[in-house]
Amino acid sequence: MTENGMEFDELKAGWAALDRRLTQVEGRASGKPGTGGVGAELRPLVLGQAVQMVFGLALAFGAGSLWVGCRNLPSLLVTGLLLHAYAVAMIVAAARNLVLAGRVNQAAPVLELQHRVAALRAWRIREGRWFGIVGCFMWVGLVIWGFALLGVDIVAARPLFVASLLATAAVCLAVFVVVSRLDRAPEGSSVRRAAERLAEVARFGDEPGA
Amino acid sequence: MRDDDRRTAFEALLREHRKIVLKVAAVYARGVEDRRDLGQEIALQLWRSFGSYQPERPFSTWMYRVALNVGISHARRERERPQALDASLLDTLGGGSPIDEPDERLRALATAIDALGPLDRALMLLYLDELPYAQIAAVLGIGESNVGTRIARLKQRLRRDMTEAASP
Repeated sequence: MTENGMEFDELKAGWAALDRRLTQVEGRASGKPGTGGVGAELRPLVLGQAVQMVFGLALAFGAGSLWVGCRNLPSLLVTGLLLHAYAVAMIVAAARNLVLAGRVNQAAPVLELQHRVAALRAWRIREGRWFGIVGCFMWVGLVIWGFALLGVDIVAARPLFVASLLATAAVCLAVFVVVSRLDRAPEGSSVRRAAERLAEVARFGDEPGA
Repeated sequence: MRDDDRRTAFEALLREHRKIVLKVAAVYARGVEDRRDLGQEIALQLWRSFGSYQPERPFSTWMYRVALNVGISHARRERERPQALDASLLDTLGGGSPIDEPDERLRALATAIDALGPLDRALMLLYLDELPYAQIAAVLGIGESNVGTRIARLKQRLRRDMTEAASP
């Protein structure tokens, strides 16, 4: 018997021992239901995306009304267009998440499912970063819009006040960047880990010699 | 099929193949409670996915897919490499029952599994369960030739690890 064969005989014997041990330790496989795996993990995501889509539609409608109604006021026109673009991005991102989540089928071949889950995760992380960065400034647009609803063009009336809001937004951005960096685990950022997971799945599926 | 019949059919299949659930849970969970939870999680997901099972295909292939997908996702959620074969499987039986066989083989198995990532663990589990390459390929979703290559590399790596561990 080769050295390699001996080692694998050991592992196979260990596997047979595990088989017997499991029979002794476990009564039954089923019982009180657990938390539900990836499916359960995805349910809050699906619900969250549905809410995001509704919020995005409402914002798109409101922001659209703002810029269409204020085309002669450059500050409100720009604010309305930016909010509108943000709302559309929210809708598109939510739709994409729902499509990706809908493609996660637990009975799919392992590599296929792991690739889909990794792709969804990678997309969610990138999307979260971008929405976080843009969101640091978008609330300023909502404040400007709020004043516009009261009939005040706050940019024209109190430019220093708007400048202070923008400065606060810049501080928000700095905090967001710092927190994102602190969130990094020793093995790298979540973005890198997600990319590595995708690469790992792709490598595993590579045909020999391909 | 009526709901009751479907449930009865599922329970019979789960009983028949329950070792798949137990082994996947043992390989991907981190402790006694975690292993039990993962086993239940797999059983629940099997029931939820049962509608997608096509009776003309082998149940075990379908079951390995679901169980491994839940196991791998569970291990990923833990964010760390899961510790294979918890202490209750290595040292003592539940309720303190005496151990009726030596632990060395199980320890060697645990060490080998510990060194592997989630996908390689799946491959090793299927290989040690003596599934034909065609079925391993169907469970994992890779080509048969890739299965052979990956198993050869896995053996090579384990041999190297064992040699390194044995050298002073």
